[in-house]
Amino acid sequence: MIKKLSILAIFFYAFSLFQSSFLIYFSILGAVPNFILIFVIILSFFENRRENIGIIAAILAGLSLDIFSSLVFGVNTVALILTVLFIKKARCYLKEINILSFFFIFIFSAFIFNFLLAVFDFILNLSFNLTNVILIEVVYDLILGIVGYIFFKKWNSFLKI
Amino acid sequence: MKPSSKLKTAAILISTICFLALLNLTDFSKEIRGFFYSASYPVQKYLWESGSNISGFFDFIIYLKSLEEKNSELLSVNQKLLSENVGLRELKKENEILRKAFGIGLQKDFHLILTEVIGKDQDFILINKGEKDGVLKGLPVITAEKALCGKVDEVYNNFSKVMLISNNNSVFDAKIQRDEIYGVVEGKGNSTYFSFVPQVQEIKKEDIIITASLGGIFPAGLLVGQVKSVKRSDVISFQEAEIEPFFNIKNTENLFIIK
Repeated sequence: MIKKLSILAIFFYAFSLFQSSFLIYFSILGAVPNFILIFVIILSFFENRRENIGIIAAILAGLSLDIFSSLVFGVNTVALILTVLFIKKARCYLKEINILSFFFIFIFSAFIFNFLLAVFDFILNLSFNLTNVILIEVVYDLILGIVGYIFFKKWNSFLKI
Repeated sequence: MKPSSKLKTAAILISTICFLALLNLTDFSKEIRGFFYSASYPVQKYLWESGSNISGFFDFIIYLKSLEEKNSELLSVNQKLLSENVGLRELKKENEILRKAFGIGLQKDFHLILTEVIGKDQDFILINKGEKDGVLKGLPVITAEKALCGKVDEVYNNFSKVMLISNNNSVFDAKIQRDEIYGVVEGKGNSTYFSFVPQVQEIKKEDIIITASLGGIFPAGLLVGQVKSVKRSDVISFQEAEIEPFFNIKNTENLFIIK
């Protein structure tokens, strides 16, 4: 368990670095894909409902995002935890896991995450950043998320901790 | 979720929020960020340079398509600038003579600190100079071409975060270069606007906006951007123009902090 969590922590840290320094150059209309959010959503979607790996991953991923974020430290972590809790709750109502349910959960989760960030930023900095870029970013993330879904479906043995 | 599982989740959530609140209240979050910036600096710098090179290559391919058209455009601009240059040389000579005659000294040059960009998040960039290099909060950051990028927002030991002029919280006074038309440059997320200009004043497309030192935030005369479009309305007393900032993160590696 500790070994897998350490791997996850390193993975998230590396991707935060990659996102803030490399992917910036490949933005589409100002939107940059959030690989960490994509990974956390997929992980929470596929995890066993009794497990808490999604929340632990959200904490590790959120902290990695917070290090390189311009927002108040911890905002990404809390937003990711709440997003994962939404996915867990939504999973209770799902009869079966398929690409269609993933599609809707992904869209809602990505919007919730970005909306929470905008709300927290407004509360803590009095700055409102909810722009149409979020919409582009969600679409961008969704395309990569679907690729991730296909990949994960074949490789979800990692989650059986 | 079972009650025990719910309890466990709530405990994780509450303890995480408490831990994060404590980090922010004690300012320890700044130390953590500073530590990770230092630890990941070599990798971050390498990634930033690689991103710049790779995107530059793709941009070049796209640019090749419009090269011929751009070339003839630049030739005509060059001709225009050459004739302007001749006129300016004459003015410079005249200006020097007048300065000598009236005993006016040239404006003291800025004290500049050279810095490199290593990361970006929303409307903030991370630069590799910090408290140890004498960087202070609020100092202006410019490019080699004297184009304004923003101001230092947060200072760590060896790094600083710069708030770009496109940020929602960025507001400063500016004017149109060709005329004494004053207004305010406001960041609105991914776009930047020149606003609070009375309707009677005329803003033209491609007008150049420069800083004015009325508010004392930035020194006067720094390039801000070029007018992209003008928004007028009869129902409001002010007009605003969307501007294209001269500062482009994709073409910038080195910046200067004005001390």
